[in-house]
Amino acid sequence: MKPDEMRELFKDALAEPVSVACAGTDDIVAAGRRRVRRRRVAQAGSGSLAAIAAVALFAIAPLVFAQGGAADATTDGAPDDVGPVGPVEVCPPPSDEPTGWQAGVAAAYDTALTEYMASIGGSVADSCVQGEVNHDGFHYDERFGGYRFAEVVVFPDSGERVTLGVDVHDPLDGDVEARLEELSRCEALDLACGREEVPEGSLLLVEEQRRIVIDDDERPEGELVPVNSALLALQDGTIVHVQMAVEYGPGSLSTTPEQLSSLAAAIPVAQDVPYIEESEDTDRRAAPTDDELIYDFVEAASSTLGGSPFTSPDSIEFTDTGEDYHYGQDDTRVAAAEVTLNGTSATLFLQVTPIEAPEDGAADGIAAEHYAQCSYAADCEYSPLDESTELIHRTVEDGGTELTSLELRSADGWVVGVGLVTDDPAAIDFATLDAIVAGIR
Amino acid sequence: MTPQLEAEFREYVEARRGALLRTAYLMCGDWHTAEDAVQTSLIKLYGRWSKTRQETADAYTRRIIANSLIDMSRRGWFRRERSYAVPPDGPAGPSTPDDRLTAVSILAKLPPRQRATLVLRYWEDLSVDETARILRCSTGTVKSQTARGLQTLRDLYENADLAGQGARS
Repeated sequence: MKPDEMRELFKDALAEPVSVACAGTDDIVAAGRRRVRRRRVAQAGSGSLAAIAAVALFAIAPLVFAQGGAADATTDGAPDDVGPVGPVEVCPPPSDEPTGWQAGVAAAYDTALTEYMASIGGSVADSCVQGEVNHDGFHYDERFGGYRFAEVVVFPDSGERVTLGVDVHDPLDGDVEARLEELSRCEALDLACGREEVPEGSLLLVEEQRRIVIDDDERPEGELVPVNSALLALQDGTIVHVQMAVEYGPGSLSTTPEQLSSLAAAIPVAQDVPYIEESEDTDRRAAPTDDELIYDFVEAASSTLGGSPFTSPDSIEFTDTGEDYHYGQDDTRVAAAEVTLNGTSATLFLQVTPIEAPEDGAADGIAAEHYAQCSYAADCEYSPLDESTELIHRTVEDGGTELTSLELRSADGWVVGVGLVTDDPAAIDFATLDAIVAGIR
Repeated sequence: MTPQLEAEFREYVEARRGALLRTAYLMCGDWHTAEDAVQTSLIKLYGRWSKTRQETADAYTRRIIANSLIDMSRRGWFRRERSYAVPPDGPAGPSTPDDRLTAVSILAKLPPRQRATLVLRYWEDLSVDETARILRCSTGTVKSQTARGLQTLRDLYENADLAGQGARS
């Protein structure tokens, strides 16, 4: 093919009308401002940014604007005829409700997985792929043909973080061996694979290294990430495929393929599960709105600090934390504002994180460490306020000081925190921050 | 950013985003993914605008777009680089008269890096050196990717009916 023919090929491909709604220039400028502001806040206070900037496998593209709502396209490929669209959630919830049966199966699988991970010291963290639907555990995927799970798992004792994927493939006719090879690609990629027969069926264990781009600025060529897998083909033709990888790239997995095979066997496939009626109890819409939270934040801070400390109280808004993982989990959002304390400029911020299972589990130190991301902090102190509320004092230091007071409110289903980034350590203390947090309900 | 700089940034966005979107689409074959990549590049460009001369802004945004699209194709949980070694499907019948579907389907058969290289070389008319800088590789790699890409296309055009096999890579 010659260059001229190549250009004709491109022209032919572009003959399709543009079928996407494009963000307006105002939206792009606003998103750019938020990105700059987030980076400033983080750079002022965090010493963990080098690690944080190694973007996780679970942060892909900043899909800050709606993909849907495709408008009628123009024939010349220009997107300008399509009006601007507004921001959407970083990880939107599923649009389809599962059936009662599917919800029951998913809940049973979730319980089995959580219990098994706990038995080997792991805890499932709430996470999602930015821009994609957040299923929050197992869910049935009709197009895939089975139940799927993809989350981050943390091991608090060692600080290890891994990505865990579990696919439960519906039974299919045909050769199980061929299906196992199709899923594992043991022979095609010449991987280290081991086969054995177990009481549940045929087991295939795989250890491999996959090249994955984690930091596209520093290591565009990607890095070799260890991945362990277990595929369990059950007697009825169901295949349970468990995969685990180091979350932040190179390193080693403490979880062995044998443990993953035990996890696969623990998933209660084809067992009786309770039918789950749809319930309003799990609906988190009762939580405060963004406007209510920011109003409380401004009121509580102004009342505690005295006067009008905020430079622009009307322009405070929430943003997702993006790559700044030291604030909290993936769905933590931060609203930052410039304040003046003792004549010195500083940044006061409010952070909120929904709890994965409201009213389920105590507000203990492990949960507090998890939600406050204390592994990224210089110091965290924990103290219970009542049976369902844990207070956390988090200190991050490097080139500045960031103090944050957080309350893990298990009964309410939220973690709420207020922090200050400043060059003047005497500007504020935890007691003051505690008072502000207590004012946010 | 000063109001003057921000006004210049807005002018740049409004003048260039259509062309950037088309380039991104040619690299990935999906308008939504292309729009996401363009948004990503422009949002990142905003933070660097005060340090970026207008004449180098295109190179910067193309670099972000090309590399984010290539990376996106490699990041999936169960995707592997070596899966690209799987040969394309064989011919399935007589060719279709629909030039657009044929073109889109043929481009979808190219590995992402080869596809980005061809788009930059023959749609954006960039030199080998400029393409290498954007893709952060050597000029030798650009030349070999170009040759392989053209050969793959030649084979596909000669042998296959590819229309309707999906555009997304």
